[in-house]
Amino acid sequence: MIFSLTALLLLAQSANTFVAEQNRGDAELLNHIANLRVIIQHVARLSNALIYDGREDEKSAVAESLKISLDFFEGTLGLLSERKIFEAESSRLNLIPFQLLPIRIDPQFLNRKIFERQLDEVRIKEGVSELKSDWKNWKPMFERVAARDTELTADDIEIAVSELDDRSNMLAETISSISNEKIDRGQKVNLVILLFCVFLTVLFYISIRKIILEPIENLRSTAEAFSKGDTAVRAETKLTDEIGALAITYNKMMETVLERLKIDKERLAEIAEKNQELEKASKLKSQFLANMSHELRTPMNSIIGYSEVLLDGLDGDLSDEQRDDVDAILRSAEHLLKLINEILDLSKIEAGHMKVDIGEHKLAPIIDEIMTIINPQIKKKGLSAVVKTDDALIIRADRDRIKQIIMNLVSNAVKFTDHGSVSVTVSRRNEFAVVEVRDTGIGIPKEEIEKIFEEFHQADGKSTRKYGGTGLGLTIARRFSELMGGRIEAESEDGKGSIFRVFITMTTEKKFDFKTAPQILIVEDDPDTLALYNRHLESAGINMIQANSIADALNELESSYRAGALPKALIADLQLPDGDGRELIKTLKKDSRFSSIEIGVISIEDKDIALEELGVKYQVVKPVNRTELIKFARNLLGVKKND
Amino acid sequence: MTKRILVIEDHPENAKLVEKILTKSGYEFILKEDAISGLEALKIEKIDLLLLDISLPGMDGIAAAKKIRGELLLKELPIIALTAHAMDEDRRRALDAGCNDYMTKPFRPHELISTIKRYLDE
Repeated sequence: MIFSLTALLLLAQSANTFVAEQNRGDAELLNHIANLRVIIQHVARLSNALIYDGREDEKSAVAESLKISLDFFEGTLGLLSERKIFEAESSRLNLIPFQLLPIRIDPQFLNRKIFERQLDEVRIKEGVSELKSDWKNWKPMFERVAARDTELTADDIEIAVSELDDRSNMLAETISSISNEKIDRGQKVNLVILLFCVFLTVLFYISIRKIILEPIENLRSTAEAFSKGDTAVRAETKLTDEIGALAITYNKMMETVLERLKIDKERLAEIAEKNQELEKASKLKSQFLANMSHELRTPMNSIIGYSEVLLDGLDGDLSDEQRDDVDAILRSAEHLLKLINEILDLSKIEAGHMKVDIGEHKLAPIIDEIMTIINPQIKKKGLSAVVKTDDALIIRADRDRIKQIIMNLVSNAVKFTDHGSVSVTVSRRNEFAVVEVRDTGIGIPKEEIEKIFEEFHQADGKSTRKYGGTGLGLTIARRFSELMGGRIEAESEDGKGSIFRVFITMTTEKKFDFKTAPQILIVEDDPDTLALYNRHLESAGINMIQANSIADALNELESSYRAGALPKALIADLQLPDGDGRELIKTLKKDSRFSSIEIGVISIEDKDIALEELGVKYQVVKPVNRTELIKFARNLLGVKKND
Repeated sequence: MTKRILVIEDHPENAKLVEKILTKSGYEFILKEDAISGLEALKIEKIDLLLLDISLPGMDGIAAAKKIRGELLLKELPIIALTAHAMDEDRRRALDAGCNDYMTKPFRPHELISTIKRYLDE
């Protein structure tokens, strides 16, 4: 198709060239004819001059001139008849483009048909030979004039000149009319070629549409439908060309995609099923752990319980040897119990079931509580203790877990130190509160430092026997601190003591809201009792704050005094982790800042006259139920209830 | 008058231990091995305090405590939960169900007695 179009355009170009060449040839002919006509006029003038009015002395020169003109005429006439255009092959239409066309036409025929070349040549040849024969007739007469044979009259010359001139003129007219015809025909040919080109272009578009555009559109709409989820759709594969092959490949690709999708779907189903199984297994595992813990603890209860029954003398007094034996049973049982608890903790952490109850807590009271418990051991070993806390520091952590972590580090420090001191220091580092536990004990060899955090690993294999312990404490401590967004690091040198640092997320701003002044401060160390009191009081619309030790209570009162929101009343337990509640009451009574606070006591001890003397108006013996507690609180606050 | 303590506990060894501790301390010990018979005992006998194991076969201690406070209307009866789960959620569940207190197994004999005393002795 493209070839055909190119061939046609080349043909049009060739026809134009041909016509232009022909025109140039014709113009040359016309030029020669014009020359002939000029020569004839010259010949006539010279002849007349010789016959009539020329001066005798000049006539020989004129006759010479006439002879030259006659020769010139004959030469020009010769040029005219020798013209190349009469040789048919010299100027042909270039027909090479025709070889490219799918149609077979005899090029010569086309040449003749289109330009009627031969016919034109014949017409021009005839004209030229007529002119030649006229010249033959008249040439002898002009030769006689030139030879000064004066028998001729002017009329004779007149006739000869006009006949030659007419003949030349006719020839010129023939040539120019042929030339015009040729231009017309050339234009017609070009028009035909042009129309043919337009036709071919239209055909070209139609066929491109048919063989390329439509199949591509079909492919596109198939792809669109497929991508929208129509899995049954397929591309048309009627064509056998490249696009047809593309459509077949495309269909194959869709099949493959569908197969893959099917496989993926099956896999996903398999994975979902596996996941469910795993989830079930994980649930079973944690259930198993909970059950195990219960099952293991139940017999422990008997072992420890009966040991204690014996030690408490409920079955009668024991001999010293018997007492030592039962002590050994009890210690082993307690060790085993601790191990069970820690393994349970660790399993829960590893299964991701360990929940930490993050809240805001003051750090100082936690350390005070730990030191209260650990101080007897420190004294027993003859060590000195250094404690430096930061009262304003509030951590964001699980209070029980933090206590467990620090307790673990401090009791380790005491355990592994025979001489010197154990110190607990609190500092701030960026967003962390850092509790540093330092001892002067046996230390840890450098290469062992990271290993001590691994399960069941103690720095020295022998140390388990000498120092006891489960080998899980540090592992759990580290895991807990990580669960709460912190970490533990250790620093030590063999024989020179160890330093452990716990990093705990810290609350940067003090966020206590004193807008509504708390009405009662409850001092009680048992978190569940506190929670119960809080619920009861809240239900009666009484607003409370809490403290879990004497030190904590004093801190709380200090800060609420500074904030100008001192509670109206205080309910204290007498048995507190850092001392007797009476000490707290005495301290408060001595401090004039706190004189406005009404003090009540809820404890397991009987009413104490000494407390009444201290100014405690109300005392209640534990346990108190909701009604009692609310009545008690209202009495303290001086509120009368109307129902 | 001797205080009567009902113990609902399915584990015989533990029950025997509790019996020993209670009787040596001068309390009357009544044992039921499951919650249903425990509830029956509460309906017909005069009981001063209940020691309630939380992990029981069939109806567990949590459900039993709710029934005692709800259906039996024994709102003043001190109930001490005995739980081997040293987990906060179990303690809270016990308290929410109406128990006055709880003890985590294994407990010390003197701890058990001092806790009971808080609720029984004037």
